[in-house]
Amino acid sequence: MTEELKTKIHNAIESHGYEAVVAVGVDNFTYISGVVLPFAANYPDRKAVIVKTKNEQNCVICPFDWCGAINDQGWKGNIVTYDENEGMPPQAIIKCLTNVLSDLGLGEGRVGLDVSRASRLFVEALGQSMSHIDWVPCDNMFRDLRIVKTKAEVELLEMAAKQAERGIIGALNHLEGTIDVPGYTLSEFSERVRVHIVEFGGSGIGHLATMQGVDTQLYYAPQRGKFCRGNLVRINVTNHYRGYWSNAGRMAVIGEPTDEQVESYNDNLVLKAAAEKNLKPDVHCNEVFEEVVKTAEEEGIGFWQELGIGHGVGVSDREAPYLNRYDKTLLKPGMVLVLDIYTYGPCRELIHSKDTYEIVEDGCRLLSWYRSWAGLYAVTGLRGTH
Amino acid sequence: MKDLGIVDKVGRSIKGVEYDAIIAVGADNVQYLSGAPLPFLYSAHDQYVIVLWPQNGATACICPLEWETTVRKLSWIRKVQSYIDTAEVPRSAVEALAQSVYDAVRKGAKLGIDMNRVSDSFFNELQESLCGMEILSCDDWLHELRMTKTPHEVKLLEDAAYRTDHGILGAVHHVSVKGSTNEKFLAEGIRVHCLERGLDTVGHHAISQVASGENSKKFWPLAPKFGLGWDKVLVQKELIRMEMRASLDGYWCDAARMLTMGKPSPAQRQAYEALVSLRETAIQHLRPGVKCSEVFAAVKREAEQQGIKLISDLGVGHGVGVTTHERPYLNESDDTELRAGMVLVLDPIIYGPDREIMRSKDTVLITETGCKIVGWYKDWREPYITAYTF
Repeated sequence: MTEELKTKIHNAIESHGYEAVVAVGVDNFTYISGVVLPFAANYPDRKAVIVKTKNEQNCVICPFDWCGAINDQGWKGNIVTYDENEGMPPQAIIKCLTNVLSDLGLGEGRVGLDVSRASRLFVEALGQSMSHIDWVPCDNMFRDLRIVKTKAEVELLEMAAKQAERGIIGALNHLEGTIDVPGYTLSEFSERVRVHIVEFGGSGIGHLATMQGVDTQLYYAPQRGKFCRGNLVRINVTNHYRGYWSNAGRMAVIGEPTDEQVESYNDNLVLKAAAEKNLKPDVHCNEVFEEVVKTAEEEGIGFWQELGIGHGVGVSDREAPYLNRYDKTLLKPGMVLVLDIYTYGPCRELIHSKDTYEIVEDGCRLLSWYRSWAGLYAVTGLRGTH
Repeated sequence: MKDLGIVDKVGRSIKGVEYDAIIAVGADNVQYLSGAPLPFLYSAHDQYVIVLWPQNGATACICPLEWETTVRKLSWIRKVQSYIDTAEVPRSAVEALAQSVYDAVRKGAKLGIDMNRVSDSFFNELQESLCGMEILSCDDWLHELRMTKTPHEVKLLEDAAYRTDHGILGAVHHVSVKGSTNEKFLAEGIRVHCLERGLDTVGHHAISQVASGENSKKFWPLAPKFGLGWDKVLVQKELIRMEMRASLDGYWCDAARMLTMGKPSPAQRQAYEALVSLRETAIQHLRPGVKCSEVFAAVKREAEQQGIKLISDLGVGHGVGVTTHERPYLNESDDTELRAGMVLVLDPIIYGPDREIMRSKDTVLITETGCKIVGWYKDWREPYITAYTF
């Protein structure tokens, strides 16, 4: 973690008048600690929690088997493991956290807690255990901190976006030459995406789905069956690099595309270009959305407006600000957003081509292209380069 | 969506509780009640899929609009109510849920919610929206339901365990033939072999890792590059730990096995035998009516008597189902009595002769009379030894 980010967090804690903050959410934990535990969210009964005081006393509390991974990522603060024999979830960690807070001299005063992440039971137990502390929701502090990235954070996000691209392209290249008998399975393809991302340095994968034909109307389904010639394919993957996420989605077609397929893909690019023009400082998020609505009306392009057209990305794969009709957040340099506009294919397939952008002083900078996506990617069996 | 017998089971059980309706927000509870495997939910911090299950059985699922078609396709629940995300999290989800609750129950109703999953801010907004209704914890009720599996769930878990064990051994055979390879190759081999056997390897939890020599002294030797393995070559006389978590239709296997490169040293063989003896001690105690804490105590006692270096902080096992790690827990604090139909992963962890972390996880079904190891593709009372041939 850079000094710039440390200072930013420290200043926020001070300005909110907190004695300390306690972060329970996997995303907030990564944000404050600089440590990624990609498996943590999949253990609903186990937690890693970080305490950060205004005096820069930092302590992580975690299960015994996670301790090494935290130390190996350069964690410089204290680390205390909790014994899972000490009580049923969440009692064991609450006992340990109570001791840590006491040792840090935090018996009273205002302490921030990310209550949008901590379970009700956790908060109740902590409140009972440390009743003299004034527990204050600090979710808005996290939102405000996280919404504008430091330069180092942008670099991590760019790396994650590039890894996603290389993962998808690498997998598409495996697909070349295999589109006929005996065929290539969707599960194998998705697995190739994952493996390529990790080979290029990714620290973890979140959502992973390859959908084809009418199934592109789904966000996710277990990966079954083989690719079929003529189908539009949507590839979605979320992945992180040292805890910073990419949220990628790309389209391809198996075999030579039809004119209708090309046209529908190009329609998507028209709307994306309209959004891109407005991704700049001092524009409100809802104004970017309205510009896309206007262009869609002018061009006669249908799109799935209710979902909005994008969102922020950082230590989670989807976060504030949101590019929809409701969010009036003003864009600022350092914000990083994913443009995600769903349009429709000739058979009502859901099409999108997600890209990640950094807001810069005079507009926006595309972070995600490893290759050009200005045309629909056709898996013709002839391409021979990674 | 396959009927796993959960709909009937929940429908019967809910008749005996005080709640007029149940609300589940946790990703694991939502999958259990809706039947929809939604692996992406675990990393979606600000979006919610919620199951509402009233006493009258008019079950509903509330989800973001983007996921509606997916939930409709994967869940047995027919009433799916979508909401549109705005800038105010979690307001739109809460409003949609509150509307569904008002449609389903009378004013002044008692609602059960999974307090150990729902965030404090979501709960507070919901309480405000459901003025006049009482919201209580239904965690214990959900735990009780989930801990004992239906025969269909058992079959899935058994199948997942068997395919995973088969996948691990399939990859190990390549090591046997090649003589040696590196950690990355073996980890990837395990993943591919599991995939070939029809397992879904999705989500963060689909971790396969291989750790040998110095690396095997750590639980997560690859941080922050999780889940792939280093280029370290597997060398003779080293202990190798292989780990794989994989799912089949949303039900998980949590596996780990040990491998020795060439003939094990006497110390390595002794350590493996120690691991086997702890497994056998646990198995002697795994039967209906015995408390989880008693199983833990028996294993711990055995380790102390035999001078085995047991890592006891993590307990010696846990339940498995729609997650890889769930109740009941074979540790000191869990006094749950074992019952027929529970499925557990037995996982005593010990240190090897050079402080390697050794584990050989077994999936175990509690039966009427005792327990049964499920999913063994090989008899793991003996270690797997690569000897350049199979």
